[in-house]
Amino acid sequence: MVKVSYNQKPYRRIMMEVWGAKCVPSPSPDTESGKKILEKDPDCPGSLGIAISEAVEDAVKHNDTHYSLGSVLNHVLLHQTIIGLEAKKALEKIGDYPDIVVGCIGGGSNFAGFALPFIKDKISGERKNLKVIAVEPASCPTLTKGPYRYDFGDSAGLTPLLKMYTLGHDFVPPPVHAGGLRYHGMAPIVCHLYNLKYIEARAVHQLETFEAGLTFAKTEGFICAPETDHALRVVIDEAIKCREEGKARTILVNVSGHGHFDKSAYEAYLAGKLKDYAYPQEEIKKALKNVPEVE
Amino acid sequence: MDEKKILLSEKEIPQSWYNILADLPEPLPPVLHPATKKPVCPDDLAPLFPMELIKQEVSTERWIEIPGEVKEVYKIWRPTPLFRAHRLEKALNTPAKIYCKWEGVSPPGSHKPNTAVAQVYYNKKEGIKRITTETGAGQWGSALAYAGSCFGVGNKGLYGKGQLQSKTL
Repeated sequence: MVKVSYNQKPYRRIMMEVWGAKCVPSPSPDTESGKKILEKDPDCPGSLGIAISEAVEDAVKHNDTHYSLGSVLNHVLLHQTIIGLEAKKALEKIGDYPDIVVGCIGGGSNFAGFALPFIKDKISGERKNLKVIAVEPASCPTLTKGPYRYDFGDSAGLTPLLKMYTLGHDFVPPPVHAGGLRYHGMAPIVCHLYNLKYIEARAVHQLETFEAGLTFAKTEGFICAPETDHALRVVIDEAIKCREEGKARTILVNVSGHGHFDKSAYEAYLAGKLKDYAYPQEEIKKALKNVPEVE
Repeated sequence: MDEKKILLSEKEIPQSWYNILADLPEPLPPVLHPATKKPVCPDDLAPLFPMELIKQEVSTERWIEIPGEVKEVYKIWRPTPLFRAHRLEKALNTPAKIYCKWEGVSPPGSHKPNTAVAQVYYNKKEGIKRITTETGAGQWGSALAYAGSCFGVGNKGLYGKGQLQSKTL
């Protein structure tokens, strides 16, 4: 588990332990890639890219062990389509279909799993005007600011090269960012569809996402994961646009998870301790120097 | 007022996953080997993933059947509710209709077990005893740990060594 989260967010780690898994803070001294990073920077807060390197290394070294990825890859997105398929079926029951589909993106799995069954109809021409919006944090602006090129999925460069929008595989997210969605790259399927203009992307700042999360919690009751709040921000913006334009559009959003273990982020927001942070273009340029040349 | 929740029955859980690779207007750029920079072949990925998942990674079949054992686990929390956010609509004074698909009802509390359960199932079928992964804030790690426990419980008498363990980095 990314070290900064291991220490700040113990509850999901405890869940893992309850279900019988062992959870190790990354970077760890258990792997060569972890050791290398700790030698350079003993206080490294960790990143998803580093943790992937360590997990892949461990799997390759043990015959009875495989590696599992929770987002990005085609088969992960495939399994998540159950979300969109169910949503479509439920809407069919009441004779409705969305004009706008919204989801938040980190690696792309909840967004894609939700949106792909609808994008199918956009590709076929059956729903040409459907708007599909992927929402990302301004502090990790993969689709809106990254270039579309081949890059590694992890920091050490152990994984295959994927063509994706990327902030560079050694991207370490700014610690001021509270809301998840921190991966440097993006699912190749999402990138491809964005490149072909079937998907729009929006980057939002963290303060406005928590504000949206609070509005949702005070009206609908549910306190959502800070990741989901990114999507809710755009839902609220689009609903306000409907009011201003006098248009009764149907907006469909994936509420990807609850925020019961993310209360410290809400606490920081309520105490006025969070700040907005836009990832600077110079940092992106710097990180991209280490991205391999393929074409 | 219109219905608040639009619920499907367990019988209405989709039988197959949808594979967009069948419908892409242009093919997806290939995944490249990190050393040779040539497209990867299934054998390159075999040390990391079970063959069923490698096949799914490149399949162009539009619909891929959900295995029965995976569906049985899905039934614990699926179908998830779709609800109309009437109160939010009212607060925003908008003519828009807002529908929310609520994935927070799964045991770990997010959408992540939809794939964790499938991945653990295919790994178990291939005789894998241990799975490593990474997790950021812990949604994924907790989902995979949950999925490991779902299939581990089925291994009566194999407690310990035979139980699927996941190690989360």
